[in-house]
Amino acid sequence: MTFEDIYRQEWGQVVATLIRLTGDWELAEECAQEAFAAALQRWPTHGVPDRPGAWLTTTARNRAVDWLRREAVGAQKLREVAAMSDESEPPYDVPDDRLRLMFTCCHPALAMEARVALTLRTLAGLSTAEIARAFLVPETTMSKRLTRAKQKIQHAGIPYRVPPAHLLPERTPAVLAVLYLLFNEGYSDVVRSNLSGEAIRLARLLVQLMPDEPEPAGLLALMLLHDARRDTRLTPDGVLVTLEDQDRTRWDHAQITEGVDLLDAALRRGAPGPYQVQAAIAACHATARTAADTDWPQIAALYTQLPQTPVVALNRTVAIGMADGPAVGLRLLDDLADGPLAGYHLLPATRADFLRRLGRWSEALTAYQEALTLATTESERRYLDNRLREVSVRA
Amino acid sequence: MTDIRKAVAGERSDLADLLGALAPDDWAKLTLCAGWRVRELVAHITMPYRISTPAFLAGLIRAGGKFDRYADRQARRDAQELSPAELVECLRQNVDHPWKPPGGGYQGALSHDVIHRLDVTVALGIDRQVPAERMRYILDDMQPRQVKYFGVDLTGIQLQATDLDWTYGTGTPVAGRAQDLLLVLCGRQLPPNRLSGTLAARFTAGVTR
Repeated sequence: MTFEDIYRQEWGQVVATLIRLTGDWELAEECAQEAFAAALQRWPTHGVPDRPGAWLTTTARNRAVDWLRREAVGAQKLREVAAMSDESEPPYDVPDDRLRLMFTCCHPALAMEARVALTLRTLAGLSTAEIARAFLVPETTMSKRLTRAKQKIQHAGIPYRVPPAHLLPERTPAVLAVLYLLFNEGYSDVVRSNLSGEAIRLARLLVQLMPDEPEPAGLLALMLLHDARRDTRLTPDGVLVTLEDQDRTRWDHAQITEGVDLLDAALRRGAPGPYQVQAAIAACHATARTAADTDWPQIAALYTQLPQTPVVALNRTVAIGMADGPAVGLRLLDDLADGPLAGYHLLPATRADFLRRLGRWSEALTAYQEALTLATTESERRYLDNRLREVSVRA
Repeated sequence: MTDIRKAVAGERSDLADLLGALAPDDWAKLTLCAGWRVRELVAHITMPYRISTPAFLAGLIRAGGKFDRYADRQARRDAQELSPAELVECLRQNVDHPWKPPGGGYQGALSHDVIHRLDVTVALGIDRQVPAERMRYILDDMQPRQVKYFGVDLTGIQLQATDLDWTYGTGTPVAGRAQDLLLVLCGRQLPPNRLSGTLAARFTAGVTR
């Protein structure tokens, strides 16, 4: 495991524990940062400890004790935190710490963008710069947003806790949205794939905590079904492989079964929400033996059950095109061209795909070129480039 | 093959034989399952063998996650599309099908087949003794959770089997054949004179699926 791996894995737990101990978010983050800096100095010569997370938590806690002593803050708080450092086996990896942090980061008093940013910073350990990049805002803006969010938590007295049972239903969607974003963050980026694992782990925890709520289970099913295809989505040298061309024998079929069973049980609770519907769509793909077996009419119908965002409309168009033929799909795409999806690379990429299936090579070429200029990741660009060369030979 | 799966296969073969021997009129007769004729009931029993995962999940979503509503719609649609001969053939082709109800295991699959078969035989007045070893699997597996699902009120009542060493609950005895008591647990309305005990008449109403 590289230092980077350990950082990604342990950051959230260290910060969550320190917040519980000190009640001070800025201090918790600073101490965590110092602990990781100390590790970076010490571990190369002394070796990585058996339980790096426990070492980091202890080190961070000692920094907090030092700071509290220097600042001579309330003697009571100091005694509390100091008492913790005497424990030979500190309570490490208490799942509730991160769950507490999750619900607090996703508190309704905070703006949605603040919740996501705060979760990515405090739980996932993304740097302010990375989060800024993900949200297409300058780093200083993101930095201010994070500071404001933490101040708001402190000043508004937002409690550091998992909400009481009766508040869980209204508080849960925000947590789910953040977890799914976290999952996608890792899913779209091989380097940070552990974020997906982290999201799945937190979702499992959430399902355990709220066994009667179907949407967390739906989200977990959705993640498991996507994640089961993880290893087949890129070629060894990093080119995107579309669903149609993925090697289905290499999908994780045990995980697909787990996802489907989880979804089946969740749906029977009689409240199918957007995550359950999306999981059902993912299940349609994951259970099709071959790409040609895919039940596209069913998928198209399922998309109508979701809130009709522009991206959902595009995905539904793809499904209809696959069910009723690319010519039908093309016509439907025209209706979307001038809407909010203008400039979104998957719009010309979808168009190019329909044109390719129709053998309209030169038009496909133009559409692939357009998609290529808009694509955001290297793996997509290389996929589109391959397609482009394929059609240009025939154009 | 494990014993439980042999029991499931045996039950399905028996049922296929029984259905194959029915007169055409019998397929239109009502069963103990509210609102279902033999046709819909057999369509329901064989539904898991035909339906794909996507179709099932999507259907369940369209029914708002209400499984009973979904199962009813699907059974009615399939009963219209498939002939009795096709339904029997579907059952025969799938005696070894590995379907299990969620969380129910193969015991659950056996219960499902046995109970629905009784829904047919009792309603049509066909005398049929469920083999003891199959009843044993089902009764040993009976959990309060399942009974709760059917919404049967058994407060102050003890069900006592007259043909097997089995009781359920505590209180005033209601006695009968184990297979009839199984139907009581599943909320079925029984024909008269199949149960004894001062409270036996209580189980003549409240039918669900």
